[in-house]
Amino acid sequence: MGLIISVSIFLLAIIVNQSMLVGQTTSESVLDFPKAEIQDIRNEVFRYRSAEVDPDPIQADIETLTLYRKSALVDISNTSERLTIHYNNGVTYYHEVIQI
Amino acid sequence: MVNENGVLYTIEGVAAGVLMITTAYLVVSTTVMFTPGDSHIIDMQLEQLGNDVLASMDTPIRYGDPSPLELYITDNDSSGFSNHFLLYANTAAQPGFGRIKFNSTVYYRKDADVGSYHFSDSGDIMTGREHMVNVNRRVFVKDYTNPPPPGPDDRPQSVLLEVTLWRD
Amino acid sequence: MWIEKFHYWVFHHTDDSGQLSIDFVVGLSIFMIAFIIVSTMSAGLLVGLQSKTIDYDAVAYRTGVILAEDPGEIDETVGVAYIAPDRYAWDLIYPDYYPAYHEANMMRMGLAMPRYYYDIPSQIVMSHKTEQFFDPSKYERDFYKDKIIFGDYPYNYYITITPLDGGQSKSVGDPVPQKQQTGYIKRVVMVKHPANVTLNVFDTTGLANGEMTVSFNFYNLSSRTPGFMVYPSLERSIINLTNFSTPTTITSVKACSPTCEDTQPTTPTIWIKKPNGEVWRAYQISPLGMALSVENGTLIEVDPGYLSKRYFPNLGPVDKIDVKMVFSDPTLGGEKDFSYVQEVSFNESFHQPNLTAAVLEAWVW
Repeated sequence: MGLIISVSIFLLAIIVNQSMLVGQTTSESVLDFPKAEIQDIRNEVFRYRSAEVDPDPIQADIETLTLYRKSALVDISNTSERLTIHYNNGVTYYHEVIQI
Repeated sequence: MVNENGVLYTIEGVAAGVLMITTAYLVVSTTVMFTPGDSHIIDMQLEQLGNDVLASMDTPIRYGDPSPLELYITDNDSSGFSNHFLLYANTAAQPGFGRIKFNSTVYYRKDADVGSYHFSDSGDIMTGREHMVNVNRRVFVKDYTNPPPPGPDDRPQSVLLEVTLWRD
Repeated sequence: MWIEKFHYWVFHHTDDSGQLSIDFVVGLSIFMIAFIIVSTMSAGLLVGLQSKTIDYDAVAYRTGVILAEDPGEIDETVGVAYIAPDRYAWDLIYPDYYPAYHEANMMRMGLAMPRYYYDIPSQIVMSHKTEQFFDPSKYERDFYKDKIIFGDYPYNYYITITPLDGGQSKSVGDPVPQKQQTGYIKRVVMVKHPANVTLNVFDTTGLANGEMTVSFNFYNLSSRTPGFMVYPSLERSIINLTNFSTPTTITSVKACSPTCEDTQPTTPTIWIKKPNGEVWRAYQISPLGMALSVENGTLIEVDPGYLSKRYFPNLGPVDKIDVKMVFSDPTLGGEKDFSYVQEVSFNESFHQPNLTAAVLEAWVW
């Protein structure tokens, strides 16, 4: 019993110490913010819009693949006068409305 | 009760326990060196580089053309992709950044399921010890000429190219 | 229960034989632990110095983002006068013309394509901006620090661009120290080059009397997707003249919006570049008394920033600027367009060079 308690105190102390050491570095904030993801999604939307194909299956591709591989929610709506791109990965929320 | 055998009593036992744990903790925490800041910097540089390379490859070089990246995926041209990717990733004005290696997979949607196939790599085998990052690019594929079996549907679609990259 | 035992232990614990060494060990250990803790914490005092490399990398990253993704920014008006075509055009202020405004109004020097449209790709930079940025005679060393590095700490920098099409690499800044930690970032960009038209100077209609008008129609030029559009007011435009059959001279070049005027005596202006390497300013050719001979392959080059609101205040409502060239040979001339489509039958063509890739690197220390 004593041994288990000592070992767990020991491990907890290590964990607490490490988490304090990490801190908030600039690189971390750069990595946390999905800048490239958002640019990529925007670019892809403009790409298929200019290709003049049926947008619905492609929007479904982007939404499904992003949810499956990146665990982020994407919702794109595409009408003749308005384009809406919505992105949410649980931490960062991005919403863009473009009037065409 | 009390004799000269050096017996530990309860309170001394507690004290000794605390002492031992603290000592062991101090010894371990001073010898184990996590350098979180540094590894994040490498991650940040690699991730930025990977995203940049994919974004440049996905830019058509002439008005109206498909992008080089779209063509590589359409034709399933893995060596063309590999050469192009490594040229962009490894060009540097001064040596010292380390050679980039990569492995890539294409994910596609087929009805409600997600399928994937191995696309291209630099010929290096991951041992699991490398520090690697994942970057990805959504690539618009208008017409698959040569989809690898069992393969994606034959329709205009957006596939997700995922590249794992690391350096020596 | 245990509390009585504890009291008993505390108050009846009088036999000190053999206990002293353990007490001593306890005391020594506590001291040692305290000492180790204090010494570990004192290392934390130096954290500010240790994290310098982290800071360097963050600054390098920021510089990389400004160069690769940001078009830069300038305060484009002084009072009511336009000194720049718009707020992105930091590169179109000419130091020889407005040095004080130039220094004071520029905020950032980004190389990316201006954000006029929502769907401009983020990693395209403009070739004349990179030329200007990496021109060693253009700006002071400290000027770069103010406009792309930022920060109170006097950082040193080395920035280089390496074209992947085999071109010469260019750089600004000091040599990178080998023995010191430096911040580093590498970006890959696509470079957009200026467009050109090849025009047949022979007048097929027989009505032009040696006058050739090349029309820059801003509305028609905006028909392509933004990454591949021609921006006449921001980019260099090149007119390539061909099909001269007999030796002839050019007597004047004027810009019309809508009334025709002499071109600027100072940069930005229009240049006449001959195949043998001679470069002439197009400002008032004939009063100089020089018959400027022209031949096949003579280029008329319009500087970036010249066809803009700063020099043509009517631009906007009018949407069109003409460049009018007068030749001594009356069989030459005609109405031409600087446009994406040219008639192949007249040996005329529009050419937009392909985008080329380049690697942009920044070191900061």
